[in-house]
Parts: sequence; structure tokens; C-alpha cells
Amino acid sequence: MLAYLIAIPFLGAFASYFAERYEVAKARSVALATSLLTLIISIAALSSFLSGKEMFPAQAWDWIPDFGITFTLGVDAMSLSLVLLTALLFVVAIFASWNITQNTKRYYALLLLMEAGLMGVFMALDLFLFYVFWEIVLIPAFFLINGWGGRRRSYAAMKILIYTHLGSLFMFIGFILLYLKAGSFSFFAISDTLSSLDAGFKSFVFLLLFIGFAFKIPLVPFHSWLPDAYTEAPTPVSVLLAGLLSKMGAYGLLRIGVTLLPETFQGYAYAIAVLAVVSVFYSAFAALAQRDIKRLVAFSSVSHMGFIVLGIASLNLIGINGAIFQMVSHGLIVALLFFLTGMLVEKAHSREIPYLGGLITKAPFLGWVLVFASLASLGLPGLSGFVAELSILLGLFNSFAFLAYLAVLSLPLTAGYYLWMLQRAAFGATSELVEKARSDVAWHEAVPVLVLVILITVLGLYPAPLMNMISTTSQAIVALIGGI
Amino acid sequence: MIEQAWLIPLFPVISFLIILLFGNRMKEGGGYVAVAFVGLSMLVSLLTIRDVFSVGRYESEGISWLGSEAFRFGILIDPLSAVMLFVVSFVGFLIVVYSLGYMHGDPGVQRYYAEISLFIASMLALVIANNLVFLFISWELVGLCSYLLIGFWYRKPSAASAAKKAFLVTRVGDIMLLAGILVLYANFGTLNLSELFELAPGAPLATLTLASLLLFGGAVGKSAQFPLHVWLPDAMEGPTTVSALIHAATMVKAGVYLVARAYPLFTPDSLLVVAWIGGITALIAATLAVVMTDLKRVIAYSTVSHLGFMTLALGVGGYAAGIFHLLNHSFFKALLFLSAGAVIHAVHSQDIRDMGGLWKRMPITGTAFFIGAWSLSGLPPWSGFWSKDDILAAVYGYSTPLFIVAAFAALLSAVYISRLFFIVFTGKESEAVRHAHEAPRVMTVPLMILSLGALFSGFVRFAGFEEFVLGTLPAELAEHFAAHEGGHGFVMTLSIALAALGIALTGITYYKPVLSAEKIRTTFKPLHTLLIDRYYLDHIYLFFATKVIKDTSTIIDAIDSYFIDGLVNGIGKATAKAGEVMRRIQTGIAQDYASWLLLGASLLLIIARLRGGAA
Repeated sequence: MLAYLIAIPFLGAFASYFAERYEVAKARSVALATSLLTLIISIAALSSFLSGKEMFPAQAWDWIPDFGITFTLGVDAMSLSLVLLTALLFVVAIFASWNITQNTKRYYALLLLMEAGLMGVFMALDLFLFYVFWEIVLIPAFFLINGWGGRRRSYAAMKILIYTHLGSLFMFIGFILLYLKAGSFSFFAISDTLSSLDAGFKSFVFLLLFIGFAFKIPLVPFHSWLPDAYTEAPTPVSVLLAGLLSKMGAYGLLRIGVTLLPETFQGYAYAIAVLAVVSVFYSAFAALAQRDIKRLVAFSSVSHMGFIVLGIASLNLIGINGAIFQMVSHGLIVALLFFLTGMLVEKAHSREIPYLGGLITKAPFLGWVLVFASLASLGLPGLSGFVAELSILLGLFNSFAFLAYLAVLSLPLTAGYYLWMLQRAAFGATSELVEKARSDVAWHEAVPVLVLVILITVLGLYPAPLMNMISTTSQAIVALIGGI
Repeated sequence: MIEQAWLIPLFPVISFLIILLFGNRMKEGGGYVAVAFVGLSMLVSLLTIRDVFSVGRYESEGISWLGSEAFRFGILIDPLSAVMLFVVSFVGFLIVVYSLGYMHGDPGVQRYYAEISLFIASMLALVIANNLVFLFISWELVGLCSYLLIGFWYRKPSAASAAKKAFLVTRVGDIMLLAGILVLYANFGTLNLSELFELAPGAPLATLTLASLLLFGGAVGKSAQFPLHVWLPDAMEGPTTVSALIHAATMVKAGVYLVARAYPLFTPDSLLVVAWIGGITALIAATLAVVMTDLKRVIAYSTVSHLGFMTLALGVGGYAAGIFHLLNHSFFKALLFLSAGAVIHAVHSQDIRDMGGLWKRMPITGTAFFIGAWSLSGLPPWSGFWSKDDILAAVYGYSTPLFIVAAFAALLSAVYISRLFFIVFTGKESEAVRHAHEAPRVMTVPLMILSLGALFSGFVRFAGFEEFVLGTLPAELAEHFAAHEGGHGFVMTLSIALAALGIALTGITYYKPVLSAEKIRTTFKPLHTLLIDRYYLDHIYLFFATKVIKDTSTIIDAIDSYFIDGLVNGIGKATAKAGEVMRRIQTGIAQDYASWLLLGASLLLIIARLRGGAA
């Protein structure tokens, strides 16, 4: 079943291209159908996972046996949560693409190719396979930004390409080194060999992998591709970059960094946590200085990704639970925020805070959802972000109490830049530009927004079902370190 | 009914959802729905309270919120929550009814009733939560509603700004509460209140002191204690009903409630801090209330001051006295706010210098205000007198310097409230007042009911209130604190004398001007300036926000754009140049080709590398 999750968007990419090319159907309709089908299958995968089916690994084929490369797919609770998130956010992204009219057949083909890649990354249990999918995600991202982005799109596209390629290079060298010792790329084979290897080697490999993941997450100072990429990308691509691509890094850190090299990670945990705290504060301060709401959200996203790393570095059950929960929660919240910035340009003709003001008066739906999304992002209890942050902080406090106190101090800062933005953009007197804003809301805008709002609220009010599921993965990870 | 107490917060949630979804199609934006559901909630609350008298205490099994047992959310009903349930549901109900008149015709009524319903729901959940995380969630939700309702008239820049200020300042307190939760979880592995109380006596004092002080930090923010009290006066930008409900009767009591709730976790050291913060708050806010000229701000500072009295009472061990004052204050302060609201509604101004001689125009409102003021001033026999007297008695046995602080604050209470009454209701009619007329019935009836509360709630003292409230605490603690209570001849005489002196001083300044207010102002010019500038606290915070925080952010942004990014741009430019070259070589989309090439090349490299490695 898992292979379908990759195959369907992959085939859908071609289908949507040729359907429009030969005027059978609109590329958008094909893409929407494909992404909905993928969503349905991922929900089916969830139900078979919940019924207790062994899915880790679920499917394995030999691929390039000479090099010990296998096509192994599998999901645990963490992968599955991210697979579901991917399937959902691609539907959202296609709704967000409604107004893209230029070269649509190529656009949707690239979008679906990216979905196939992401699904692969979150399910691959072979390092080579993982790497291939990792690259498959990057290439469409580059073309999408370059082809449909904002004014400085080529610059931003080139930057993300170079940067993340550089990151992948480090990661790939790490993979090769592991392969050379294990003679296989398979996750399980490597994991069996690793315990016999010497600490210095493992430490070196870990650093290579860590740099690779740190670029993708990103952690400060590996982040500088991000503000431009997120800002210049077309809205749907920003949704995907922040909602999903950043999770590749966090996922890799947990799946590969922690699971394959637990003791090594333990040795670096404090340093990583310190870097994450720096990242949290640095980007929170940077967010405070932004005029463009999209850039503000971009920096805020870096800050929240720092929390995920904090949860991982705490290396205890509740902290890792929080980190995985935050992956899902942040995915939903940031997707909503970027979706709204797209609507802002559409309806109010600007994303610049000083030109907005009184948005709620003129476009109440857009304005109130912006308030909601900001509150969700600043960690308001009752919404999903709080659950994640609380768990992360509880976990972190058990491991590194001092860093937890510091991390807590970032919360008013986050509240500060969001509320200050709301005060100027949503409330107050209506600006000249907003005076001309449109208040209409089309169904293809309302549906994804409401779905995200409901999910964020439900996960925030009653997180137990998801948390219990995630906990199975966290327990397995924590058992590796011999912790609790 | 006590086992169905979970219905209490549920009713207003239903009302919130109905009004949110369908309020635009309803009369008064769904106001009657709010009245009905808050009414139901009050009914269940009253029945629950009746059961508390017989059962004493009830804790439900709860539901698991986050998988682990530490996060099992249930409800805990004991005498303390009963008092709060009564205050929140009863005063809440009266204020929602009053709102039907006060908010009539406002274009945002639907939003108003939705947010008020959500507020009441969260506030009721807060007072029956049996788990600190459950409490914290409700705590933040009432903060959210406060934010939304202070900014209710969001088109006014001052309202939007005040809303943000309230949220951020209380957020500083909230993170301390959150840190307290972290400390407790790390040390006890549970956040269930009853379990914490059982474990607390065996824990090291230093841990408890730290945890309880952090929890108290949350209370300082929420209950507007010094030095985080600055948000409350600005919060008066919201509708007056909001000020009465949220910023006088209920939400601002949440901090005091938290201290009372977590009382077994407090140590003598942390209680000393609590007492002094309370005392300082009571005094500082009272001095500010004396010089303000905005009707609502005077009452707001008075609220801060009285919250300080409650905190002080808890700090010095006057547990029952603090809760008693909480109960009484809810009545007389809601009454004062609502009658002030009626005045503002009629005069269309909040500046007391525009008012005067209103008594004749608005006799019911005037009487209501008079009752509230009398009760607050601390003259017998109405409610404020009894609880203030209990507090002073408790402080008297605890520390002399604190007693002097508290006594002075009590004197000032009488001064500022009688000043307000004399200026607004007596003297010459001003221009603005001439067109004023009495408020409609839907507003005056709640005033009358609250007046009865403000008059008579003090008498519960003689019906075993102290014993009832002390039933909240573990038996040995309760015994310990019972010793502190009780009437005290000297304190009572002094208390009456101070109140009388305060009123007499104001009387000869504002009612029969023997002294000139103007002259007092000029004589104490530096002091007056200090007070008008609110001890410069707002200036200091503003400096911190704009200079320290914003400048750091500007510097980091600059570093990010010029330094870190500059490094990358170098590489970027080189690549772009390469792209240009390719463009000349190839037709078509050069960059696309380039990337495919790059991918191909790296794959080739990989394979070559692999072959070498495998061999």
C-alpha cells in the first residue's frame, strides 16, 4: 500500500501534464484528484497501522543488489504522521494554486513530483533511497520557485538550490561512509553494524549528517537561504517548503541521527540544544524586525523549528513526543499562515504591514483567520502549538533545566511580534490600501482554511489520540538510549 | 448535582458556538442565547454549591488529555471553587443581562456575546480544574478573551494597543506560571493538584519555594500586582461591562485564586514575598487612584489596590479573610463599574471633570454607586468593612511595617472613592450632565441586585464563612490559619477611624470646599507629577520594549541581511554569472538545463564513488 503513496503522485505528475497538453482535462483537476486519492490512501494506511499491522518495514525489494541498495519502505507512527501531513498539505497547496494560470501543466506536474519525493523521504528505510527521494524533492522546488515565484525568484531559487545541495552533499558523504562500513544502505543492516564501530568514526559521520539536516531544518546559522526562498516562492510552494520540506531535516535528524547513532547523539545533545536555543531567539528577534508578513512568518517558522530540535535533543519520552507533535502542528499552522499571506496579496494587494491596517473591518474572514493563525503560532493553549511546546519544554526541563528556562523566555517574544503585527495589520484604522480590499471568500479558499483551523483546534483541545500514537515511536527511540 | 458539575462550563461553550455560527441572524446578535445559557450555568453552579455544603469536596476521575497520567483532566470542587463558581456565574449572569441594554445597537454585538460566552466558559473551567495544565489552558483562554474584549472597538488605535499591552504583560506572568509547572512536573511527576498537595510536605523547602514563587509570578501578571499591574488601567479601553466582569469581578481574581488554590505548596519564605507584593500593590495603586481624572481608571486602580489587599491577606496567612474580600469585592466593584458604565452611557464622557451633580438626573444609578462606594470605603456595616477589617487584623498579627502600609492604603481607599462620588454626583451640574437621563430597566435591575450583594454579602461572615472556606485546606493547615482570624478591638476602631478620616478629608475638599484641591496639587507638585506619571513604570517598560528589544531585533536583522547573507550572495552571484554564460551557449531555459546537469553530474559522481568503495 505504501508504494502507491509514491506511485500515484508520480504517475499523476505525468497524467496532469499530458491531460492538459492533449486537452483531455485541466491539469489542476487531475492534480486535485491525484492528491485527494493520495490522501485517501494515506488515511487507509493509517487505519491499517492502527489495526496493528506491522509496517516497519512494510515492503522491500532489491533495487541495485550490487551495491546493497534496496527499495525498502516502511512507516512507524512518526513517518505516518508526516505522510498524512504531506497528503493533506498537498491538497491545500493545490487549492492555494487556484490563481496560477501560467504554464499550468508543467506547474502541477512539478508539484506532484515533489509530493512523490516527500512521501518517499518519509517512508524510505534505505539510506540511498532516502537520498534519492531527498533530491527528487529539491529539484521541483527549485523549478517551482524559479518559474512561478516573486520578483527576485531566480536569486531565491538559485540560493535554495546551492544551499540545500551543499547540505545534501554533507549528508551524502555521511551515508557513503556508513555504507562503506556496513556494506549495505539498508537501515536495519547499518543499525546492526554500527554498535561495533569506534566512537571517533561515528562522531565524524554524525557531524556530517547533522550539518546536512541543519541546512534543511534550518538551524541558525544554516538558515540564510530560507527567508528569500519562503518569501519569493509562490504561495503554495511556501506552504510546502515551510510545512513539509523543513520537516525532512527534523525527520532525518530523528530517524537517522538519533536512531542510527544514539550514543553519539547523546554526546552532542547539549551542544545541539544550545544551537537550537540560539536559533529560537535569533529568528524571533529577526521576525520582530520584518515589515513583510511573509518574511515574518518565515523567521517565525525557523524559531518554531528550533523547538522541534530542542525536543529531540532532550532525548526523553515527553520531549520527543513533543518534537514529533510539533512537526505536525507546525506543519498545519505554518501552512495556514502562508495560505493567508497569499490571500492577503490577492485581496488587500499587499503583505507589507505598514500598508495594511484595519483589515478586519474590510475583510473580516481573512482578518479573523489571520488572528487565529497568529494565536496558534504563538502557542495559545487550546490550539495544537501549545501541546507541542508544553511537551517539549517539559522534556527539555528534565534534561537541561537551564535551557528550558531560556526557551520559556522566548514565548513572550513570539507573542510580541505576532501581536504587534496584528495590532498594525488587522486592527486599527483602515489604511488607504485596505479601504479598497475585497472581502469575498471563494469556496476554494474557505475549505482549506476551515479544514486547517478545525485540525489545529481539535489537536489542541484533545491531543491524546495523536500523542498516544506518536508515543509508540518515541518509546522505541528512547529505548535505544536506555532512557525513560 | 455536583457530579454533573462539568455542565457548568459546557453551557457557555454551547452558547459560544451557537452565537459564533448563527448570532448574525439573531436578535441582539444572540444576546438572549448568552443570557439563557449563562443562566443555566448559574443554576447548575448554585445546585453544585448546595452540594458542597453537604459533601465538602468532590473530584472527578477525569479524562486523559495527553496520554500520561500526569495530564488527566478532571474537575475539583471544594469550598474555594464553590465561592469562585458563585462569583463567576452569578455576577457573570447579571452582567450579561445588563449588556442587553448597554451593548444595544453596537454593530459588533454578535462578537461581543460570543467572546463573553467563551470567557465565562473558560473562567468557570479555570475554577474547577483539578490539574495545573488544565488550569493553565483555561488561564490563557480567559487571557485571550480579555485581549479580544479590551480590543473590542479595535478601530480605535488606543484600544488595539491596550489589548496588546494586556496580553504581553500578563504573558510575562504566564511564563513564570509555566516555569512553575515545569519545576513541579520535574520534581513530582504529576500535575494533579490533590496529588501535588499530598507529595508537597515531603519535598525540600527550596524546591517548594521556587515552584510556589513561580506560580505566584503568574498571579502577579493576572491579578495585576506590582510591578506587572500596568496593563489593567489601560484595559479600560474595552466596554464597561467587560471591565466589570473581567477586569473587576472575575478574571483578575484568577491570580488570587491560584495562590489560594496552590496554598499547600507555599512555604513561609514564599508567603513573605506574597505578602509584601500584595502590600506594595495595595498602597501604590491606591495613591494612583487618588489623582486620576478618568472615571474608569480610578476604579481600575482601586481594583488593583484591592487585589493587593487579597494577596496581602493570603501572604500573611489570612486565608479566609482574603477569599472573603474576594467575594465582597466582586459585588461592590462590579456594582461600581456598572453604575459608572451607566454614567458614561448617559454623559458620553469618562472624564470626571466633565461631570457633576448627576444625583438628580440619575437617582437609581447614583444610589447604586453610593452603595458600592460605601461598601468599598470600609465604613460599617456593609460588606467591604468586614473583609477589610479581617485583613487588617491578620496583617496586624504578622508584621507592623506591613500593617502600616495596609492601614495607609485603607485610608486612601476611602479618599479616592469618596472623591469620585463627590465630583460626579454632587456639586454643580455641568453642561454634559444636563442631557443625561436614567438608564433603562434592563440595566438598573442588575444594579439593584448587585447592590443587595454589596450591602449584605459581608454578613456571610456570621454564617460560618471562615470555617467553610478553611475546609478547602488540609486539616492541619486549616487549624494553623484559623488562629489568625477573628475580630480585634483596636484594629476595628482604627479601621473605622481611618475610613471616616478619609471621607472627611475629601468632603472638606470636594463637597464643602474648605481646602482647595488646586492648592493641594500645587503644594505637592513633585509628588503629584510622580503620581500622574504613574511612578514612571510605564516609561521604563516602554524603554525596555522599544530600546532593548526592538534595537536588538534591528541589529540582528541587519546582521542577517548584510553579514550572513552577504557571504552567501558571493557564491550566489558567481553561480548566476555561470548561468548567464550558459544562457548564451544554449537557447531555451538555461537554468533548467544547468540544474538537471548538476543532478546528473552528482549522480555520476556518486556511482563512481560507490564503485570505488565497493571494490
